[in-house]
Amino acid sequence: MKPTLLFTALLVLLPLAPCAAQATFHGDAARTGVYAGQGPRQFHGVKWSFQTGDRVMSSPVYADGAIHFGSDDGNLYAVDAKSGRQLWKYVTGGPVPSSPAVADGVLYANSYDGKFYALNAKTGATKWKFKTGGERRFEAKGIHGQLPRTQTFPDIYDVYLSSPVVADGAVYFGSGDGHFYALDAQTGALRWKFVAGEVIHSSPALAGGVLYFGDWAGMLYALDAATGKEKWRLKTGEDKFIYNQVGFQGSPAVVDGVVYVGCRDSHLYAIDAATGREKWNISTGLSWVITTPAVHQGKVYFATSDSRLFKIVQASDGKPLAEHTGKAYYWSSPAIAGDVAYIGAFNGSLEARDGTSGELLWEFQTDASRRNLGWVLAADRTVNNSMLFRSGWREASAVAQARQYTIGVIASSPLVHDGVVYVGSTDGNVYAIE
Amino acid sequence: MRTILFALTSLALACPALAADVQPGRWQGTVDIPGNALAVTVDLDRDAGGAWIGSITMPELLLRGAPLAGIASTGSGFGFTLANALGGPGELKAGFQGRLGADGRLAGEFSQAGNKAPFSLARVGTAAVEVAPRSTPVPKALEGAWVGEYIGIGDYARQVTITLGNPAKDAAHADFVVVGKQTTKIPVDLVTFAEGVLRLESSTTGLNFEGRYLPASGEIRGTFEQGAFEFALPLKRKP
Repeated sequence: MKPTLLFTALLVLLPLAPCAAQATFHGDAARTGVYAGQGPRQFHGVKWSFQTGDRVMSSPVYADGAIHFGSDDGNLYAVDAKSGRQLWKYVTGGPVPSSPAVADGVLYANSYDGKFYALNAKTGATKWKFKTGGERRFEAKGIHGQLPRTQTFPDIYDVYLSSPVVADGAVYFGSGDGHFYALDAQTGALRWKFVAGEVIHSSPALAGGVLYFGDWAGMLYALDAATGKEKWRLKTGEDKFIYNQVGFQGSPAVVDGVVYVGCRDSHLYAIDAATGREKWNISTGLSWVITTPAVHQGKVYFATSDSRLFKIVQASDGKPLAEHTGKAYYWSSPAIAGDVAYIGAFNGSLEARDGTSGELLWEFQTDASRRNLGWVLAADRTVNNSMLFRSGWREASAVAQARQYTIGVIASSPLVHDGVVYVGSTDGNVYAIE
Repeated sequence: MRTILFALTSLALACPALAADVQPGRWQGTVDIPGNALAVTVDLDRDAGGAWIGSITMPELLLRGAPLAGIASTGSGFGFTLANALGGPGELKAGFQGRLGADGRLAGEFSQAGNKAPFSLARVGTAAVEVAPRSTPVPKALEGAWVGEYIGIGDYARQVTITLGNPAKDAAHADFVVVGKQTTKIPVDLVTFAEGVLRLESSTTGLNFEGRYLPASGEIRGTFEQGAFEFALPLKRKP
């Protein structure tokens, strides 16, 4: 193709590009997990850390020199990327365990208070708010074996909220009220809403004008972004006994017409984006796939929860390329920058792994993880379940899970910008690591 | 100074009598793990044959009367492990290793999952060891391999093989293998047969089997127990 033709073609294409210049969860609207530039292959140190008032499950995003994230202390924060100095904070009425999206100078964020916020990204001033039907956690009788079996418990592991994506003047997100929303990005007016079967905490991926997300009933949806009309749906695994092996906690990534998505039914799926037909799947035994996969250069990067596997597979057919057993559960989603993959772990570590072999290059450990109060971790830094989950009765599991968070778990997903890795921790910090 | 210290150390090492001074009784104190002092009650006693027996209670860890194992004087020290608590199958055993001080306190190191923390116990009274139930023999007719299938959590079938034997005259032994998405050998620490009911318990996993032996049909009609769940598991003789 001649340069002139290429230029003309670009001019034609650019106005149609729906997701340009957007900071959002997992790198881009398609949730590929790929970041520009090279991330650190060696650990040089912590550039800065920023303390919030509660755990940070939110994954930071970068826009115009600022790092934006939410905290379970109820605040949205803007922090100078270079210095770690707070630029502004905005108080919502509930925890913010989701990532903001920033587009055209506006920050969009979802809070547990059941409101969706649009703020001036520079100042934190309110532009508009939208009230959903209210947030809630997935719940079920005797979930995960909690006792008594006949009691309905909220899922103690349902820790994230849906992170928005912005395109074509609309902002899209899922809600615990069982609806998926499309709002006018300028005014907050409802464009359309879609009724799903259950709580939606999966973050939508957008590609080719289609939105992809899952719900806690284990249904994966594809909706037309313009109209909200359903294109297809796919039912994944069930678990009628303890509701442990069901539902989407993570989000899809869409690349080259394929939807890659992990499920709590212990599978990673590759789905034809156009038809919803399964291309291949990988069973992980009984281990959840919470991570949103990263997809880069024909490879899919994902990790598992209980079996602690970090895996690289071929995007075309799911054939294994590399597999490593880590120290602790992975809920954090891998980020790829250059030839390095970054991922957080439940033992309070951020791991940097070679993008080809998956070998561990370095890891950063939070101070809380080093202190290991109450022996949440074993000496080899695996999770010390024998000291944690001693009972399934009443609130015991929730108490055990809360104890686990005291060691600075990294369930937030890393952001890589300008050679620096940014990630949140349950110790309440966001770390900038170089 | 260094010579004197060396001489004192040598003397101490050559005095296992210190360890022998640990007396049966109830010992109470704390284990100081980082950020938390855990209350501990250890009951130590000797059985009719003179061997140590014991149990431990640690309320913060929801342990009450958990059996001890390997209670012994070891060189100049005294130690024991937790038979089936605070460490799953294939994991390091949790345990105490200490020595009796001049103040009468048993002090040393508590280890669990490779972590180590100081403990100190004082004798406060007589022992009340919670004696763990013991395996019984099973009838000759039950010896050998039994097979069955149950549909459990996840809604798929698992194949089960239970092999029973009486290697010791007074206690049966059981191999308990479940094949589902993976093969799991369940460690069985209690096998009992009474009133026509066979019961297998695995205290480290919380997985149990209980079934009634039906001589007429030659089957064991039982259930696989997983916490509060029970799944029908009829067993027949392995062909």
